[in-house]
Amino acid sequence: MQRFELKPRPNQANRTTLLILALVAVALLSLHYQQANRDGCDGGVCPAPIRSQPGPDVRTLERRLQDNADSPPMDLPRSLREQNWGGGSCVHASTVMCLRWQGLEDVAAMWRRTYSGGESLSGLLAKLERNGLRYAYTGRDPAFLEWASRTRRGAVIFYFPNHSICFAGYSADGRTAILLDNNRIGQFLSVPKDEFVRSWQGYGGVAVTPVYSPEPPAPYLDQLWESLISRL
Amino acid sequence: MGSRFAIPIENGQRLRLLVVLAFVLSLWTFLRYETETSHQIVASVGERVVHLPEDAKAWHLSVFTGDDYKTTLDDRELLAAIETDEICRSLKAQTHYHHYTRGSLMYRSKWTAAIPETPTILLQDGTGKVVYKASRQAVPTSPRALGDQLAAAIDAYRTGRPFADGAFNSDKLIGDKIIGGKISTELKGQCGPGPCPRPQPNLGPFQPGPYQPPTNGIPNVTGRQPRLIDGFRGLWPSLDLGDSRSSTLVVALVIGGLVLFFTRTR
Repeated sequence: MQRFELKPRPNQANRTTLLILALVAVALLSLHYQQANRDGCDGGVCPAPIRSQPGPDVRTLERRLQDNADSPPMDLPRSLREQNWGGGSCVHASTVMCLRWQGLEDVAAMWRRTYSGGESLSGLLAKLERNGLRYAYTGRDPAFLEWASRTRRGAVIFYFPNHSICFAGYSADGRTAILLDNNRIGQFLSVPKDEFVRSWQGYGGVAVTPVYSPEPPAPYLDQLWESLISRL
Repeated sequence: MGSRFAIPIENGQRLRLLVVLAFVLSLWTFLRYETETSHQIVASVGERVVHLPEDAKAWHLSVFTGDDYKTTLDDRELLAAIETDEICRSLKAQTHYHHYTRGSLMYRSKWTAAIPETPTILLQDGTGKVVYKASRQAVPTSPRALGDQLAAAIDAYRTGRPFADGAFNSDKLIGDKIIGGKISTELKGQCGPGPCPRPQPNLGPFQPGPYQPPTNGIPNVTGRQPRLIDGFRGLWPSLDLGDSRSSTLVVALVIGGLVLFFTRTR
């Protein structure tokens, strides 16, 4: 008897069915749109509409197979090189160039506006700290320069008497140091590696660099792409 | 036995079970979504790097947009795809990630010839070799499709096989144009001596994040978690269930089927 009291009347069953259907529909739609949000919406950014002709394209790329090996690891474009200013801001000019190379254009602009004049290692490190930057430095270790070259980050170094420049890395054959002097930004300087390391240590062996993502190498297409495009 | 399977009572139990399942499913998906999107980046100040990252072979993922990317739909969609799709996010975390705008110094100095159109997404290996590139209309239609294409491109790179699986279909290349000459990182004449003019940054104060070195080599972007609708993939191969319209259709069909099931004439 008690069991049959639980039996709903037909109308009640229909209402319950509809209620359950609505809940299931809400659950499924919730699942669906949360997935859509995760795919395409975040913070008010709307999902991607359907566009025609999906797929990669490469025909606007230049073909550059060997050039990267011939370029300095820190191959800062000419227009991003910073000339020494104020008669003695070589440390800051070098820092600005390293910041630009590692994608911190806004920080570099701030640095250019804010700082000038002579600078010491401790002063440079204090400014990096003050601005919340991630950095690394060394006091005489050539392995640091090897790392800065290998990871294409470059570094601010103390080089030449009472001067600071950018270390742009070693050449592909590892026998030449490539330097970027903020007093001569028109071209890179090449110094035999042994001579460079010896001189650098003689000038104090200071090297400092921000630790962010270096600029990508110039894009190039491999042989397969070349043959593919040449057939089109 | 007949009374044991009396429809009203069994239906009631079944419906209550469905209610519970529906709520549990909703709660689970909600919590899962919230967990995935609530990661906050904690800024670190003056972090001195003691262990130098060995990321010489790390890949580069670059996105090129206009200066007004916050209001341009195509730009926002591509940036949102990078941040939201599982594979794209994983790839971003494992590579050096770059976002260039047309007004940035580096774009104007280096990229205008290679990347004349925006938005563009470009994936390069550690030497600069192009693994994937898509611009404007060639950018996939959905974040998931973009992630899948990137994964396919990386797989093709890893295995060294020709791009014959559809991820790199030569037909898709038709219509684009070839820019002659070589890329030069030298001065193009846009900016004379001294600092170049540039738009005022509107990105707010600089806030460095905790350092996470990228993968030093080929990124691992496998292991996408299957979605609920992925279970339908084998049933209708021509239907792209990663597409939002198709998944909406599937949801509608499921709901319609449930309605028919529960309202069928008894």
